[in-house]
Amino acid sequence: MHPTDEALLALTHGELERAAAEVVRAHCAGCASCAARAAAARTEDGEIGRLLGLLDHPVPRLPVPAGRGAARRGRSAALAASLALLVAGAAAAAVPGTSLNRWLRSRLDGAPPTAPRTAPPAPTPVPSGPAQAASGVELRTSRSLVIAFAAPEPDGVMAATRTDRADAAFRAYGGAVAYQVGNGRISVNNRQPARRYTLEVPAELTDLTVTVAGRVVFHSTARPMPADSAVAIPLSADPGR
Amino acid sequence: MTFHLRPGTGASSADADDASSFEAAFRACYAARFASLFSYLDRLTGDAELASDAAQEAFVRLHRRGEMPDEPAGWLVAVANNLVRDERRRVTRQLRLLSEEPGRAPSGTPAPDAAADLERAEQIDAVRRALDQLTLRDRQALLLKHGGYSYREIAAALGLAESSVGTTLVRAGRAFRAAFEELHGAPD
Repeated sequence: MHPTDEALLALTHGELERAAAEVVRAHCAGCASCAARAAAARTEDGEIGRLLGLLDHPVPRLPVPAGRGAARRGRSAALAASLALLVAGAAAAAVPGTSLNRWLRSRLDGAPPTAPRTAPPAPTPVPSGPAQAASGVELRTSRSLVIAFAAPEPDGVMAATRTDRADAAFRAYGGAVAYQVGNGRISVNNRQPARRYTLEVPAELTDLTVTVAGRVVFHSTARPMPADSAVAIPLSADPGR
Repeated sequence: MTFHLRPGTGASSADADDASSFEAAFRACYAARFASLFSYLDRLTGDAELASDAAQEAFVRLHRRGEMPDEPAGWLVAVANNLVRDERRRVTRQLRLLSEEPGRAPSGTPAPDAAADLERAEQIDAVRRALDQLTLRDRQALLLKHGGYSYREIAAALGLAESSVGTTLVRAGRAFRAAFEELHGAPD
């Protein structure tokens, strides 16, 4: 009996039990037709593999168990962009150095579990400069960016400025704010409002949208962002009113 | 995908030996499996950032689980597949919301790589479109197999009987080749 296509493909994949593989090989040795089928299965499978390989992007550089320090320094921009952070209680816990990725690295490096930071109580909104930034995230984006605040903040403001950096940087000053980052979007869970936020975006960003509780409160095509000054975006929109 | 930054909660067993052995198994699994999980998701979604997110989140969930599943590679793929599906739904909702604004088109189309060879770019496009013509399960099975996953792992990941993985792969391979040849001509 001739082997099935499934059996020939499984032989190619090394998925046949040894005895079954021997039976198929022995058959192919004496059957030119099946030998040709087996060869075609190998060729076609290899061709599919080559074509699928065209889609590949480099695997992000990730924790190397033997090189903890190097791994930490070598954080890739893509990873930084993909990290989702939660700042619970103390916003200071969300500075980039406490990202999930670093936590994972600490686990993978065999370090003892990092205790949640017992940072001092989060400062209430401080109307001073970035030196007092409490938390923030960065996102690699060049074209469009959506900042989505979960809840309105009656006296909350986000100051947006263009910079020459390649990443968008979002920071909260005070409060307890959780972030969800990815796909050109930063979702901000501001149940405990920080009231003051800053956003720096790459100069070439063409499209900035800010939503509050699902309502668009700012869109850069409707209200352009000048290159030399910050745009203050109120976060008071409340669809319920 | 939001993570709660509470390290250690995934391995809160009172038994330190169990916890330590889980940590070791987790580390080994991560070292052995992150790249293949990322590569599979990258090919599946065409979005390296999403692939990296989903792969990391799958490992975080494994860590929170606190014990290794019977088939860790398949378990991770199953979790990551769900994460990707949920993320795609969320993004679709987001695009729908934004498109309600007049004069605004959804953005995010990747910029063409000026340096890419035209033939290669066409092949990549044809590969992507050919994959899109497969059923989701066939696409996942084909990508998993060509990402180095075993039949057993594919079965665990996709909820298939191991005995039906071969049939799925034969069907998926034929469908892919037929679609690719129609879009691009026979491979060189």
